[in-house]
Amino acid sequence: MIARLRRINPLTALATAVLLVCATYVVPAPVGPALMLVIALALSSASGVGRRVAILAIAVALPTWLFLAVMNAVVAPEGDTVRLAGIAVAPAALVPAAWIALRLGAAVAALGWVVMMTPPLRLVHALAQRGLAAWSQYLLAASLAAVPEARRRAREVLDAQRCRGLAVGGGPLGRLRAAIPLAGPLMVSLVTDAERHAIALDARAFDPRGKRTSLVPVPDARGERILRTALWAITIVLVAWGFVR
Amino acid sequence: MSTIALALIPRAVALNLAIGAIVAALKLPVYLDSIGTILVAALAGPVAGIVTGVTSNLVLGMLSSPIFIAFIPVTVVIGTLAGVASRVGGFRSVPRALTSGLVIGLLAGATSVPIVLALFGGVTAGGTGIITIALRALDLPLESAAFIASMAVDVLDKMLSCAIVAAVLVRLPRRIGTRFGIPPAVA
Amino acid sequence: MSAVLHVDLKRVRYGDRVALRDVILEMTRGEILGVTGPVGSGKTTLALACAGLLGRSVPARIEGVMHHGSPTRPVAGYVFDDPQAQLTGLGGTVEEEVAVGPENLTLPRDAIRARVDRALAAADATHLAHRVPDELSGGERQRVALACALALEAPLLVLDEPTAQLDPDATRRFGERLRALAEAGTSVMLVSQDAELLRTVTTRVLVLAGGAPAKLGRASDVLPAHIESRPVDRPPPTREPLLQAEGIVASYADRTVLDDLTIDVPRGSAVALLGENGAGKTTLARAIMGLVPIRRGEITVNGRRIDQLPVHERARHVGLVFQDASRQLFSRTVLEEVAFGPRALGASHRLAQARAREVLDAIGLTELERVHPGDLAPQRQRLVAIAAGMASNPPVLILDEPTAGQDPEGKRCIAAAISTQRTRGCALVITHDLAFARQACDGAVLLSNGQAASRVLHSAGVLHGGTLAM
Repeated sequence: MIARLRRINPLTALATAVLLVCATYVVPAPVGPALMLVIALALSSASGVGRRVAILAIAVALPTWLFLAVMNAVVAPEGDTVRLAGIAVAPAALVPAAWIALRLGAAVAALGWVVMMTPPLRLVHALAQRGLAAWSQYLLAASLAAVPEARRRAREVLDAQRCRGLAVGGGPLGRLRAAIPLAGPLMVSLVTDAERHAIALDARAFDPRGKRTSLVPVPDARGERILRTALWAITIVLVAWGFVR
Repeated sequence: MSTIALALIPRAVALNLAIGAIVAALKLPVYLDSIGTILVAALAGPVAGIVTGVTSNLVLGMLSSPIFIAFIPVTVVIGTLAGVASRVGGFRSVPRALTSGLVIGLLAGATSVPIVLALFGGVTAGGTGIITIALRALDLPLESAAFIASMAVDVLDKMLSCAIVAAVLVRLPRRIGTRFGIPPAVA
Repeated sequence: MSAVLHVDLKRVRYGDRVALRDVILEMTRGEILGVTGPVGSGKTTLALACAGLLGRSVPARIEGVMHHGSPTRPVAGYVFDDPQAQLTGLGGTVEEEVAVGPENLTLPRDAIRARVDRALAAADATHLAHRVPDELSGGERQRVALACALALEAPLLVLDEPTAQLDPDATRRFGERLRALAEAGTSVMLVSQDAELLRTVTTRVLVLAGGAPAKLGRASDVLPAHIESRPVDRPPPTREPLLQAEGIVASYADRTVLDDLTIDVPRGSAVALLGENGAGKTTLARAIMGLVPIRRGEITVNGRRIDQLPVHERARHVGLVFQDASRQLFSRTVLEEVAFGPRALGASHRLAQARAREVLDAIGLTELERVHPGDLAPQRQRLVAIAAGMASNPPVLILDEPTAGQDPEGKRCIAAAISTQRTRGCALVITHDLAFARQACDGAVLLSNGQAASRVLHSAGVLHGGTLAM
């Protein structure tokens, strides 16, 4: 089951997630969001990422609910208040806060299912196969690849400047002043690198406006393509209904 | 878009994500996480800036949390304004850059408010949210509280980002600077 | 046999600067042509021009004829020194990265597969096919970069300093690969500063100077004979210990890199730190500087313990200069850049500038004072970084691979820096360059396998005894 779900075309998963997100916000709470959350979590656990997606959803939903609860029930109580340990609390405000948090959790779970199950480059390759232009393929793929390198480089710059006697602690003004010796080499070297990366692209016959073929195809069965069309159609109808309502 | 501008954008996206290491080391009360977007917009114009901002949040959506995707409109505003600011000389000196940062911060903050109201009920878990709650305690309406909090945070962040970008632009090697139409700095 | 490449360049300009002129050149099938010359002599410009890459992302005006014998597109495969920048990121695995070129040529899947397999085999990288590019070592990346270029299946391969960041063993193997490729019919233009590599693999060598050809002929005829440079006269090192590291134990995650290592460097001496990649040389330098925590051991400078000090405090006692200067340069002039260290350590503006000038003068960089560091070649940037490391007057100076990719002029500057440092304290030089170590250092320490290979071998003569064959 896990293997089968992971093998589906990432775009099918994406279309499913977008439908779930839209449904979360169109179908009234609590039934809509709760149902979508259950579906997203079921899909996630069937894909072997249930735990991680649940943690991600909770990490977004729970703090949001707590902040809203503090604000709307305690700090600026909305509705009738009761006294709890000498503090005026509006219990009625906790419920809408919960629905907001539930919606967020469901939406995050739906999209989280796709990004946690799919290696990011597979998603880019699937998009490429559907005709994504060479330049946007490059932007997404190269950005993903550049992140670890930039993190390494930020550490190297920190090391190099500390070796020259730069203190990164100290008062606010000193720390502000240290921003240039640290951000400077990082930013200048990244901009300078762009030239070499551009030469590397030219050297490999890269044409930003052109099409590319692919060594590794992302499977995309006919049935899946039909399913995807259906999913997008339902999404559009749903959103339209949401606006009309 | 030229290949060199195209090759620059992924480095800038990565900069948005990696600058946190330096911010953390300096313990500054800002994120600077759109500094790459502002840098690209200043070098290559609004379109490249917008592309950088959108790509950043898509990548964050894939690597970190899908929530970032909801804030793509904010990155579009930052990219556009920084690009326009650069066209009118808004990065030519640090004081000018601070002004650009002020404008960018105000409008970026304003853009994020409706998103925060619609998706989060007006308060995000974090520094901005704490300010919002504090303002609500002073009996300010929710919309105003969210607005002021968001701007306070964004203005400081974008002013510092723009100042650093301006300082870096004059430090770019002449060879690279001229590629993006920056006149050689007078040493 | 028809020429693979026919060049008759009158001039190549960047803006109003002429970078290259009067080059007439022909390359035949299966030939390896070496190109060498000092930094700034036009080597990279020639390489880019021959690879058909000028006038695209690098704006340049070419006057003259550049004729490639074959109508294939692209006209050449191109590899350069930066192992990181030449991988596009479009591929998540090595084989996908190698496929990027053929994919850009919109070849059908079977053709891409065939080319990728051939290229990986020819670059001796088949075993890396399913690895993630970001996790490869420098040497492995260069092999992948070669495979990427080969997958274009152009008759010409242009390589610009492909081994500048490789250790001697990896360089030797890279050279062997090139010979095999040439025997199979590919023509290779090899730009390199490495006289040894040029001698072993090339058929002819073109020497450039000041943007124009100076000599063209067999390597043995045009390259200066291998001179065993003897150290210049200088006072012998003292016996007074300056830097002492005793019983150092350091590890990354669960791998012990330094295992009970002891080394001492006396005042007035320069010691070369030798050993294969992964032997722990850089880790030792970082441990002395405080960038890598040590689990056991003591580090003293001038008899004073420094291993409890934070990094920026140790900077008063030890200067560490990394290989890649782009990670630290941020000023608008060389002078400001070099003065940054003393300023950060509290010197007045005037004093910092005076110290900077003194160091620049000692190394021979005075004329670069007003130049933007970023406009210098990477090798020259490293000289600026060395000057910057010395300007705060640390008694101990550690240089990490200072001579990699340097031309003779650059090596002279580094030797001058080391010789100056000897009068101020001592120097520890991490290097693969034995010839340079013989010339500039008093002794050497050999690390091996990162383990207890901690023997101190710094008595003068070790380097000359020839026991340190690597």
